[in-house]
Amino acid sequence: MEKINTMNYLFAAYVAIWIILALYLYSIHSREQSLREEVRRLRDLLEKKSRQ
Amino acid sequence: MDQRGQARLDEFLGALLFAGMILALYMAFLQAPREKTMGDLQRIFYFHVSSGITGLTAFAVNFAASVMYLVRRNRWWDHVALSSAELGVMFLSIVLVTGPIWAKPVWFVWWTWSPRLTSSLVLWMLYVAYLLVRNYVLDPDRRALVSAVFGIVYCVVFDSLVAGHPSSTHAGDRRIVAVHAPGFLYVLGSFSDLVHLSPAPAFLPRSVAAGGGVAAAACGHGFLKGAPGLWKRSTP
Repeated sequence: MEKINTMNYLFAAYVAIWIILALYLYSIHSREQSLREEVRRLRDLLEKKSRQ
Repeated sequence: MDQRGQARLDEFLGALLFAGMILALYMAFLQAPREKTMGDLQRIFYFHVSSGITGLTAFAVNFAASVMYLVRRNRWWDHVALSSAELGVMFLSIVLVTGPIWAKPVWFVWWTWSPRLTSSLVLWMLYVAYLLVRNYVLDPDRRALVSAVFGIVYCVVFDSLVAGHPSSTHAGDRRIVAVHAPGFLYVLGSFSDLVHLSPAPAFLPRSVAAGGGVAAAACGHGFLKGAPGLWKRSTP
């Protein structure tokens, strides 16, 4: 155990954890953005229809 | 809850996430002592084990929500099932990535095809398939129905595959569960705001991460207090 530099593995593991978390949060954020955009477009459409 | 309230809650959970992760890193790297046999490498466990507990709990929630959907036919339960399946896949991904990174210097191999490890990988693949299959069913009611059936079948598969193969280093060993008991905070953090899921799913992952951060810190503290001599057996 002593001969192996375990800090490299520890660093790699924590980097991997943060990358996975960041990717998941990013995917949630982008899905939320597209959902908001869709809602906004629908609202605009409804407003246009009501004016007509 | 109105939009303003949701935005405030979102901000609060974001702040909790930041504080929790900072606290977790402080506890895992500075507060917890260096483990006697594995050295600093053991600090991987503070996230590995908590992620495992959370991921498997997420699949259990998926099972319960799938049953509830079949009983009530309320789409809200389908949303809960989907969210918990996503969370389960995400946390099990962390487990499957950090496990081999820990195993290489300790077991001298990245991966062993032991029943427990293999069945965990298979379980992960099954739930990835669950998420993919949902995209191919266009009718929302039919999609929810198919997903509910898959969710129930998968949970039974999990029970026979993963839980049926206890190993020396994984769950089933009561001492390990006891030492990592604070990891259940992680679970609480993950699911604490499922009740708000239907109107605003966006802040769910933030609360997950916040809960995870606090729990990882708590796990570090738990290990500090109760771990001496626990890791004598380090074979797959």
